[in-house]
Amino acid sequence: MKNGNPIVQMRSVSKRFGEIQALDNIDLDIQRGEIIGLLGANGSGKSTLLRHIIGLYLADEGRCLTFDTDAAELTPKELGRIGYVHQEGELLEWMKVEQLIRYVSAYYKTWNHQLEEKYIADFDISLTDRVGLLSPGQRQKVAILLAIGFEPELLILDEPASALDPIARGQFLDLLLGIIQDENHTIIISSHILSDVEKVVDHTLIMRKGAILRDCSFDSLREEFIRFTLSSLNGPLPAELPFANTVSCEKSGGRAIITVQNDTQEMLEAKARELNCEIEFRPLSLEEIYKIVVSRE
Amino acid sequence: MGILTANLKHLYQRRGVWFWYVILLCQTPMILMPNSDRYLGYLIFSFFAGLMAGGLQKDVLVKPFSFCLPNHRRIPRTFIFWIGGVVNFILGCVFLRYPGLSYPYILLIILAGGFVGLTAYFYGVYSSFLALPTPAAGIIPLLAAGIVIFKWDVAVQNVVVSQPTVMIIVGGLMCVCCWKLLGRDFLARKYCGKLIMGMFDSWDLTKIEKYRQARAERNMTDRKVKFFEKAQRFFLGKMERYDFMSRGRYIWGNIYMTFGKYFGFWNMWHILGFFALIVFMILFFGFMGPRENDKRMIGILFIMPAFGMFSLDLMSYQTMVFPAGRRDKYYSTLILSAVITMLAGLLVLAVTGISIFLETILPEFSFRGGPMLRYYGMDIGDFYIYWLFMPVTLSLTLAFPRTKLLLKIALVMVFMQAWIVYEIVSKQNLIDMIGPIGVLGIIAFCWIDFLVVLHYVCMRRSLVSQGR
Repeated sequence: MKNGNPIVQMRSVSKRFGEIQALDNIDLDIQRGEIIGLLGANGSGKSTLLRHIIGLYLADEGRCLTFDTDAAELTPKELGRIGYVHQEGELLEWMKVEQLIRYVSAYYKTWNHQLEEKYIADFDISLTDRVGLLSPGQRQKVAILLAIGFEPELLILDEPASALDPIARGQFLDLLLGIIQDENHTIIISSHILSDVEKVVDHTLIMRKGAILRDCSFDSLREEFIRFTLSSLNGPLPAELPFANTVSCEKSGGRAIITVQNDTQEMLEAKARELNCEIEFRPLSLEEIYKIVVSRE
Repeated sequence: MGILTANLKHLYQRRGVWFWYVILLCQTPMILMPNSDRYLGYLIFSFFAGLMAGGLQKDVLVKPFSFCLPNHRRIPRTFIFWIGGVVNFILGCVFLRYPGLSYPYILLIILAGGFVGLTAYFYGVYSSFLALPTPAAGIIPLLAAGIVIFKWDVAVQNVVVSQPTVMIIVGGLMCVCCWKLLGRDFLARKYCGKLIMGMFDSWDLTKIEKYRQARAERNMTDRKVKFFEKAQRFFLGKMERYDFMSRGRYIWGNIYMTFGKYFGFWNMWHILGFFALIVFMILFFGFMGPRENDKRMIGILFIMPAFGMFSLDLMSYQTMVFPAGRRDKYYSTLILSAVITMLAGLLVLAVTGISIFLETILPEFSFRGGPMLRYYGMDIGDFYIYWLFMPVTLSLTLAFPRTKLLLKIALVMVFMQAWIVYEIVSKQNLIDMIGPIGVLGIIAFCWIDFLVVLHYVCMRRSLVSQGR
């Protein structure tokens, strides 16, 4: 993976809506084959960033290239390689679900009818329902089908699973895992359900107030923050613990739960031995890491 | 703060209410009617006030939280009676102008006048608060005809002046009935959480869309399903004549999307209603004849399609990503606009033809000894007005996609002014004033302006606004 030119390049992209700085000098490269988790609070600029990639928004400053084409000038050739799901996006409300699928599929030579049938069966989609009267969850399922049906090279998912029930969310993640078997696919997924995101992403982008706080692989983010339990083998722990870059520390008698940044397990183990303590590492979830990153900035 | 006080705050806190105040303000000439021997013009004001008060309270009851608020279920009744009482007994004071009435008899007259106003007010309340799903305003034209032709208002006014106690007793009984009717518990249950388009929901695009879908589903028939299947086959057939990713495929798809969006909601009654409205306008404006400037009022029908364009979304479904770039959107919207202009133009031509035909066959007549009424058809020479207005409204629709509802409302408000402007402009025919070349030049300028706006919107502006 990560071969050739990035499929999305953003250089100094800024966007303002009135008083709100929605994007602030964004520089970003998205490599082919990456599964990117786009994280951030409401209003942090995630959707705005995604919309720049497909040319729905135009940058006030800077430049966004998608498939080496200026996003403002994307042609059917490039747009035909992009699938997009928006949390509350429009669908053709007046159509029946089956009509909508037939209509959208008419645009794509690569429409995969087998995938469509499997998806409809797996996700229990009723073809005869009117789109405008679907529940939010059903609506999201249809939107996902329309975005993946033609097997796009770049799949942009903006809060795709927010309305799905737990079973459908599990199926959706399985579906994504299936898609990413093919290294030619790139997925950008923006979601607040971080426990889901962490199962599939290999790269994370954390945004806050229109700026990117972190742009790194998920593995390196996990290595950056380490949480461990330190248990004293004789008596209470000393008042001052010798760990640099401590993010948090909850002490209770001879035991402490500590989170540190930019340290290695080997070094921490050595320090624990010096303190005559037992150390037990516990991996941090993406949600915990996200909270730490955001709170420290 | 009491519940009633909180409800009364809606009178200045809701944006939509201010629009209704403008409507009410427009009715003030009807209240005063100086130099007239008719005093019940304020009934129109009362009716609109009733519509507003009822609509406001229905909006409150629809919200599920209001169902659970203690002592809230009967507050709408109190609210409606408070507003009605205050407004109508003030309006009843117009009888102070009535000649020859002395104190204290005049107080009885004012009270009786107030109760007559309450009748119109409660009819407004009934239309907006009790009638589902839309206001039962069908009786209004009948009343209007009765007032114009048979002077019903004068008859009622005579009873108010000669028998005020009768009016007060009848009005009092009516108030008791309304008090009972509006206090029933089932109303709160009936409205709680129901998807109802309130009178102040014109700004809530999501709710409008949801409501339209629910209504469309209710109106769906087997015949309609078959029609849409046929329509889809037709348009998909047209799309498939072009290559994948080609502009032609998107253009046909876009025409299908846009027309489907609007026609998907129509049923036979909508179609009949639409044609009935056209027939009504052809007759109404035709019989209004020429004014002082010799210009036929029916010429206003050349502008009507342009007004209709305000409800049109020329660039819809932008958050659905199709293989179509901005340039494709530009051309497809251009072609869509051309198709709409041609279709509306054909309709205008048909209406013109019908009105000209009617002019030849409808005889001159007089009603109950009134002035002679003669029908005047449209002047085909004024067809240029259509070509002049269409690009202007299309441009406005494109330039202000989010505010078009407000724009439409504002335009309805200035409609009468536009009428006057039309009359002033048409004192002398525009073609006579600046010649056919000049008119062609103005039309060309308007269309070029439309092209510039369209190009800007498609190529230089964000295709969706924030929050959509």
